Amino acid sequence: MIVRRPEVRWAARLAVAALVACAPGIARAQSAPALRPWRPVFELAAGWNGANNLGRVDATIRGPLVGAATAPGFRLFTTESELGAAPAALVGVVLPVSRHWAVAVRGAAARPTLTTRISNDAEGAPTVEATEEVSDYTVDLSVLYQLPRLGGRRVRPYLVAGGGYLRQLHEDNALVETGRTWHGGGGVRWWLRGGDQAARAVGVMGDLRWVWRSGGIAFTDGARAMPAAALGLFVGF
Amino acid sequence: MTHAWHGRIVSVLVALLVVAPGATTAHAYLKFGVEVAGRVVPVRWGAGPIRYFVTERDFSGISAQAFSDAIGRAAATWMRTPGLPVTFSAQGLTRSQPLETDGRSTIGFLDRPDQERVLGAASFLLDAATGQILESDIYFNTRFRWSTAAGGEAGASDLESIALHELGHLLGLGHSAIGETEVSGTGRRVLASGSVMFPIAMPAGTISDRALQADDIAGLLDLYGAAPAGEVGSIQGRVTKRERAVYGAHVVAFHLESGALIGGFALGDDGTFVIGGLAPGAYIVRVEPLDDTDVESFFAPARVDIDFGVTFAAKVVVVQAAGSTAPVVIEVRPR
Repeated sequence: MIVRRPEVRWAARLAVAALVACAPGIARAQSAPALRPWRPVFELAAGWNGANNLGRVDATIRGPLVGAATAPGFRLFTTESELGAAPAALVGVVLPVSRHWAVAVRGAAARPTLTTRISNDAEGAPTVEATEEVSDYTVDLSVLYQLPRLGGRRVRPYLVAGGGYLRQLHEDNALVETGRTWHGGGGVRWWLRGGDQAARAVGVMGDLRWVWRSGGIAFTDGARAMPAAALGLFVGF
Repeated sequence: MTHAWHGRIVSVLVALLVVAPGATTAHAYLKFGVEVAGRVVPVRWGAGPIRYFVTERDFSGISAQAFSDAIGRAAATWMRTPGLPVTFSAQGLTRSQPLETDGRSTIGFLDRPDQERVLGAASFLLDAATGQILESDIYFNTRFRWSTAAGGEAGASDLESIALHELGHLLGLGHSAIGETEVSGTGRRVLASGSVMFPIAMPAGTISDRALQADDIAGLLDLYGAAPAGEVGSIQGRVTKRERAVYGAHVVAFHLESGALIGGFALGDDGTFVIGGLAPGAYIVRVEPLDDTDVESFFAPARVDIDFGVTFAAKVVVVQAAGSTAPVVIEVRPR
């Protein structure tokens, strides 16, 4: 007798899900999918964080002050910094509170490169770039609204907005800098398996967000914006 | 007490603030050092108040009281540096003159026709056994016109600004080289300075140097180890050329978040440098030759290497609180 271990069966089901993805005709035959209240949906995705402009800062030496008037300072050189675009790994949990509304928690990790371009040196040094690797972590809490079906019966768009915590470590974990994030955007879920009545659902999700950050590694005041995208799998229970 | 420490005096240092020396374009605070028992120790005061007297002589419309008030304001500015273990304590007026070796730190006007370009200077008497300062006098040269007016006075040097510089010497700081000058007549005019410890004074009539800058504060925190634990760190490294040590290079750290410029010199035999008193964060490190300045304002010039171009470190250097960076090696190229 052959005994199949549970993880083997689960792997087999994933394989079936992949087959279903290749056969939309089969998928359409199943019941229309929806969020099921209080039944969590787990997400695992690959992401992409867009470049993040950290601002321009001049190295300036103080000029003379005569009465209340200060002469302009002397610019020694100029810096312009950017946290580069980078791939990210994401995990998340979506907890529906109704068939349309849900709260979601998502964590993300990335390793972008901080590049500072140094130019306009007063003594004519050539323009150069100084770099370092940054570890970038975020945890976001979002409110998610799932819209009616879009296109095929198994594709549902959603809108998402929320905020979270930013934690960035300079190279070699030399220093931790923290900040806040806010985001708004939307995405789609494509149910490959399972639906409204199914005990378990599997599908593909993707979303695009516009993210604002404050604090963390930044060299100017104010929030800075960047795009972020994610594409992955979800499993609902 | 006075007779007891005369035998322990090892040296008298004089630091000058001038109005028109050679060109200066560099960056750094510098500490004085003295050799004690075969090793160099920083020149500084021991714990406790620094007691000083002010001469009772009026000069050029500036009363002894106005003079004393200006010195008091400058002293208070230094004492606002958080965590500093030394304080100033005004002891009143005295008939003594600056530069008299009497065990009293005396601040006052002095006629120095031989120092026609020197606004003021500080002198020290040091303890041979510890390197600690026993007495430090400051004089302001009566060859110049002085002012204590709140907003400054055209054509007159601002006493409070110059006092702030000289009191920095009195505390043990050497000259900083963060500044830009231009040729003006037979000398040079300061366009900008990044430290009150810059060796050339701002033009007469200006009052910019009544306020300390990041380089001054970092120097003082480093000299006295005064920053509360965990609040500052340091950058260490080497400057090399063709893999050989470069002596006397200026190394400046630029804090990307605050815009502060703080520096040091590569003065180790192996081209090493350490810049302390730095707030945590990301820094750009710039190295330049001390080629357009009066090197003697800083240290003995004999070995200073100026045959290289301005060079930046290839990496963003991150300073952590209460720690030092891994060595930053900056290879410069000959011109």
